[in-house]
Amino acid sequence: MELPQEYAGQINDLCELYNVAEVGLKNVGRIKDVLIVTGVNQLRHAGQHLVRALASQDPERIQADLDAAKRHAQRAIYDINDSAVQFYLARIDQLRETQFPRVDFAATIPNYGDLVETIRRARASLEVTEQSQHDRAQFYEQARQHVLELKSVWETFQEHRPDLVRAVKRGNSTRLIAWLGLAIAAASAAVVSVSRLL
Amino acid sequence: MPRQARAIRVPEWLRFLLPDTLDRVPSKRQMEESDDLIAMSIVQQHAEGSVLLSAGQFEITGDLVEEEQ
Repeated sequence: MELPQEYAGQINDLCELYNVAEVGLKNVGRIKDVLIVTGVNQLRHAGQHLVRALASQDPERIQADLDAAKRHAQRAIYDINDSAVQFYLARIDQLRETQFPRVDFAATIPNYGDLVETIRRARASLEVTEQSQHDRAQFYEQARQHVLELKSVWETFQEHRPDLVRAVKRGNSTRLIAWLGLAIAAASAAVVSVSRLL
Repeated sequence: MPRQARAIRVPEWLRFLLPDTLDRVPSKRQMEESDDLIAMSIVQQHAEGSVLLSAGQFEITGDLVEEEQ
């Protein structure tokens, strides 16, 4: 079973896409293995189309299956990176909004502004709808870049986790002092008022 | 009929005076569980096609499913 030579270029393209997807699967699998499920599924579809193309004698059928295989492989690369970007964004949101909602991150993490900018860029990348106009290879590279950058952001947050916990405790101490000051002031005012009455 | 306890809503401007809690900071095990949930949710959303605003660029139309039918 071998496709005619005229399809060699398309097969090579598909080979390259598979390689990119494979690297993505390995990298994202290290972050969280379940995240590769959608990418693997897309590659499964790509494989099935490829096998059908190999089994077919009809040029139209072959071309249609090769095109479909290519789209599924491209989608696999997209899904793999998209899953990782979403995963990191959700983790970061949880840390900022649920675990430490009242901590002043800018005062606790030195380069927090840069981290926020990285997060904003990655989030924006998920919302881009007209990427088809751009070079796909560049798009994959950007998606991969967002994953790496978010990984670094997440690691920075993790390194500063003890500082965030300290910031919560420090904030509580400040509040306690404020309340004590208020209580002392109120008690003093009460003593002064009573002593004037006597 | 027993009276139900009502949660006291603290005005936003007063919250800064109340103590913060570390109860929301998860342990390592809780964090792993939370990561699992997040990952599963993302996979589920992908499976349902309810995310990926830009995924339309790949023009995947479920052709494989149609053919199998």
